[in-house]
Amino acid sequence: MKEKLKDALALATAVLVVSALYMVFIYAPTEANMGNIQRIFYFHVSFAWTGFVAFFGTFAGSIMYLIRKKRCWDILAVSSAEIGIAFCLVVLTTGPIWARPVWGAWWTWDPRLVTFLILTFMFVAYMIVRGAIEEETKRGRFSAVIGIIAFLNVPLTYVANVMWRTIHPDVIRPDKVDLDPRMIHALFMSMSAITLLYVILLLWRMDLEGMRDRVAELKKKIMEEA
Amino acid sequence: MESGLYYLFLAYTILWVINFGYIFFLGKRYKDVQRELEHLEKIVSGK
Repeated sequence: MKEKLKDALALATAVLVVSALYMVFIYAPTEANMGNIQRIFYFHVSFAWTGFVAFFGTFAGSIMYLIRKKRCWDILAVSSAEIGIAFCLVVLTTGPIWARPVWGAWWTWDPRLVTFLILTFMFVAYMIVRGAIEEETKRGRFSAVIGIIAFLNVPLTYVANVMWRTIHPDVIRPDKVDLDPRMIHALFMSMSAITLLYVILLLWRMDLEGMRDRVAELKKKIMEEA
Repeated sequence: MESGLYYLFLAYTILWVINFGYIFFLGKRYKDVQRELEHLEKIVSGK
């Protein structure tokens, strides 16, 4: 049943990704000032948004782990953090590729860019700390604290455009979305596709962590019996 | 316009390379752990 659900989710993700690509490249109109290069925006924003969702998964898992001390919450936290880092890597590469022809520079030390880079580094640090601690409970506790602190950078990254002077485009605001309706449809479809991609990757990654636990358990059992 | 298309192509190529790279990396780890698990289960059930 569980495997069938995963297969159905994977199929739905593939269908949504293809639909999103169709909407981004064919359905959405070409932006008047930037031209075709603006089409990077749809997937760039979708990966950034889902990266935030992934880090929220780590934040929620970390809080629950500290309260309940159950390994399943730690598994959710680490799995979500790893996917979040992969998605941030997409954002950090597609952003400069868009910026080069539009801004004339690959990178500027803009508040939105810097806060996003720090956010990614903090979650990379989270993974490094996890790899450095052997004992399971200690590893879970330490990394949960880092996961919670690192997540605090997400709202800061989101409001960086409002708090400081920035050249990063700000077309999506809580009160208004400054886009053609067809562009909004394409963006919504891309966000749905990448969010579903996150869900399926999270399920696979959590399964992997569960199997690793079982391997460790069996190794311990064999050592005790030897 | 031409350079815009070049950057667009580059961005989407890198985007999917990172994604499929991660999926491949995840799949490889999954297979390795599954193989190890099967091996250990055989040892335990054989005792």
